[in-house]
Amino acid sequence: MANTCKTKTTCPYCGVGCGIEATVKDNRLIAVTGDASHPANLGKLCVKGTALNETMGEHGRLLAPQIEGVEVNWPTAIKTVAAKLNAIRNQHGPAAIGFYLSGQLLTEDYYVANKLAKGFIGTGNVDTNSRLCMSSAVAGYKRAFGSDAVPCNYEDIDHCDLLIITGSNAAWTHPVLYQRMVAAKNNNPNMKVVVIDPRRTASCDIADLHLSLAPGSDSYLFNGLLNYLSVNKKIDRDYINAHTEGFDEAISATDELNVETVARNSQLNIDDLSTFYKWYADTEKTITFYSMGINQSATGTDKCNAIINCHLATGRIGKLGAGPFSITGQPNAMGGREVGGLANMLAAHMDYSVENVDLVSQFWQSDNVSQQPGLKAIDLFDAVASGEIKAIWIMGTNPVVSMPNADKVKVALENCDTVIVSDCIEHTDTTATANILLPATGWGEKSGTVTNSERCISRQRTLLTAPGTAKDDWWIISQVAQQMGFVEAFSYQSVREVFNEHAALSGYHNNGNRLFNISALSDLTDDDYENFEPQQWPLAESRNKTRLFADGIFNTDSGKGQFVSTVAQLPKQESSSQYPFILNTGRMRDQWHTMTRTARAARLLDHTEQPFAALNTASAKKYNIEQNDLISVSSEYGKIDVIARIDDNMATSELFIPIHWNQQYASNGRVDSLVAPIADAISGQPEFKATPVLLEKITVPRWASIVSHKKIDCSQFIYWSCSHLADNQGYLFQAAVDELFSWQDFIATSSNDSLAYEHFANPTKLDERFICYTEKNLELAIYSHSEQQQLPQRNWLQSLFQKSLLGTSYWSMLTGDEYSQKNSGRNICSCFKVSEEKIINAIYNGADSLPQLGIELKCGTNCGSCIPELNQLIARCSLNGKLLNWA
Amino acid sequence: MQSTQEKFSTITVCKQSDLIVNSGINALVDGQQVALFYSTTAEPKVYAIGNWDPIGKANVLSRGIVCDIDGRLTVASPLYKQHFDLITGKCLEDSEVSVPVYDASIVVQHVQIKL
Repeated sequence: MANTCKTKTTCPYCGVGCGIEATVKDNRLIAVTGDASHPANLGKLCVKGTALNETMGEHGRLLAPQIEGVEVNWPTAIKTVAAKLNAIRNQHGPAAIGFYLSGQLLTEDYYVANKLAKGFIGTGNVDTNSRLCMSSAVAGYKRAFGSDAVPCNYEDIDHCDLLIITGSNAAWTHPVLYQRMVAAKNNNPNMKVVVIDPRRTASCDIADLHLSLAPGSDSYLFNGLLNYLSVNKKIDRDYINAHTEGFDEAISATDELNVETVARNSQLNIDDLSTFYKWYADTEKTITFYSMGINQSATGTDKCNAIINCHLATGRIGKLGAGPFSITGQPNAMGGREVGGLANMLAAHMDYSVENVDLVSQFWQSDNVSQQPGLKAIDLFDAVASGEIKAIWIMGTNPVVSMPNADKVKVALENCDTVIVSDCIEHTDTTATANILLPATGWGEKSGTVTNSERCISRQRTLLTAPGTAKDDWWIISQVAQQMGFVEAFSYQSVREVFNEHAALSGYHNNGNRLFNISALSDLTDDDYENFEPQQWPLAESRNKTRLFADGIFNTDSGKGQFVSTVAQLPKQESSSQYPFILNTGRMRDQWHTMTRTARAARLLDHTEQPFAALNTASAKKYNIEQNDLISVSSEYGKIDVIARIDDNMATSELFIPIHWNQQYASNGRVDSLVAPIADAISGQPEFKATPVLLEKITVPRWASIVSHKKIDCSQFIYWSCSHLADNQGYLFQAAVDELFSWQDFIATSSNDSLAYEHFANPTKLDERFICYTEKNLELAIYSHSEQQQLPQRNWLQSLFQKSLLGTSYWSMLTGDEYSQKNSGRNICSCFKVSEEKIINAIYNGADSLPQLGIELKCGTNCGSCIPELNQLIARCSLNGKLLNWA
Repeated sequence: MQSTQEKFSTITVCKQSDLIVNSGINALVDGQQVALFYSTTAEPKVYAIGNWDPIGKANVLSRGIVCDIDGRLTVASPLYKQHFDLITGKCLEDSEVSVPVYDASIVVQHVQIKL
């Protein structure tokens, strides 16, 4: 009997924090399904979650520690790291050591890293990639409520009558929560949805009103809303008087912002704006759901407070179906916040006051605790560049791809002598800069807790044995700490002991000062921890009310909610004749962050396989750009090459490029190398969504698609992008090459074995095709043509290695039966691999509704992420013209 | 849904079988009259321009005769016979005058245009 078992765990992707039931057989993850008992998702799962089992496996994993490229054993690695850190600390002081953590770390890993850095090494220079995604939301909540506490629960979505989605494409970035919004709207015909976004995103599928505002003009919109509420006497005076402070100052700051002024600054028409304001004024149960579009701004904190001000003014907070709801992007951004893993925090929701430093020193029994806030992400890497920081330890994140002005970060790390990177993947843009590599366990191997966007703590559990000698982050950090001389403080025997200590600190001398108090969980036994059920904080034990701030008492000194006067501002940089486009960045539907995990699942690239820039028809025509042209996009800071995608959901002169691509998967696609290092003065969060850029068409003489078992030498290509084939069979490359590029030379140098090949050529169109093989195995297939649309499509190329062919059949891949089937279209539904062409065919043949498409092709019936696109295809394919008969 | 953005959207106008080779038909799309012309000389291709003749001031261009002038595919207005380029919309006789052109394509035997 095979050994099959089911284990409950939590998804490693977005901040929704879905529960998963994993099926493991013989140390292989064979299936994942949604956990029906988990409060975050009630059994649902998106396509990324569903494909988790396809991202596992040993290929590409970092299996052993390495020092300067040489594999070493753990004791050597730990001694080396400890010796280097001690030497630098002794010679240059603790601040010469930096840590850069990640929302991918589990809470326990985060806790131990924060404790070592701030508590024992004594450096405040500990920041995290959460700085890039939600630090403005944190700062906004702290200014208003005195505490970083999200006041809403997911169930509020089920009960609201007005849902405002601003700066979020939830349909793609938080798919399971978006499905909950769809269901809420279906159940409540009176519920209205307003989407505020420069782009007409997939989330507009459920919108009653879409406000396509000028990029970054959100604070005009919300400050104007506050003004409108006041002028039209729609504020809750009793609530304001009883529970808030600062209203008069806040309202006087919005004096000038009448509807006309707001409309002009946000480039909206007055009717639409008035509709939005009226709906808000008249709807008690209102949620403002916001994410990166608000946070990632030079005035992100003010934007968060502009949103919160409107909720305070109407008393719509702490009530069922109402509140300002910031949603996080990472699985454990919230855990990191709870631990205090940000540079401006000390520990456990405590900032750097003298009392807090004392308190933490007592709790950790350390004299070394850092005394003041450290450098936030941009400044941290600047300090690496300037040499002020001599050693940096990066855990589970990829700053060479994700930081603004990313080329500078890359050079800074390349020039730093002590870059320590803990990761589970061997080759990333950041591990390429490391001096010391430490193999960490990944999702499914490590064990601990995460906290989701509604403050629900749940377990990630070990499903599989880690490959090679990979170790848990908390273990690695503790070993280094002990080696550095901090033996007792880091003598943890299990991850459960770390959790208990973290829980204890949250309650240490708390006296009700800090909302985050999970000290009731500080003496869990191994069994308790293993069987830990998802729990929301404030915990039931310490909760005296049904939801946060329900009694109108906030965590501020006065107990009152704070209005923050903010002045509406547009993004720092404007477009110009030199840089006429405004670049927006964000996620795609099926990829995650810098794609170190998601790129491993072939089907997650079926929807979109190459780095692209979306622009509308008018913009494209102006620059003589056509669909799928290669273009370069440049800013003051860098230049990248991507494929043009004509997308009329974009506004004119605006560009959208996804954040995912990196040097492992494309020649030159790191969009953050274009982004200016401009940050919010309070939160330090960079302005990722409004960079002035220029685009230029790159003439491509020949395009090529290449399928290969091994990685190929792309150094002579004009452009390339790469994706994995299913079942680790190899790679699919899309490339652009010169007219005179010799494929024969390329084949000769691409393999040690001399490859035999079949060749077809039509010189007039630069049409060349090669099938290269050894003995009886296909090794390499190359299709090259002057016209890109003549190349075979992805689905067909992916299947080449799956075909079992006799030697004579290779010709059929060049010109014969096989080759004639080469065009089957890109996939819209990743769950069931249903192509756009199939869907269009089905619609034109009568399956012109979602249910009928579901019956015919199954598309849209699993995770539902493709439903907005299916609706668009249905709209596009229903007959909308009336022929006027004049004969 | 209301949207404040000025948008292009792709619309299915008719079936490929409704088209007449080397001639025009007239379709009412979203309140606008669009003239569709169909050529099969190289490969089947559809062209879409506004049906309004800005010189003759009438919705008549779909009734014009399709002709090749110096390699440019054009339609001659049935009123005063000026020629309009089917790709650029420009009037050959008067460079100041043009008609709108729309991206048009044939997808699974249906005609889609971007409006």
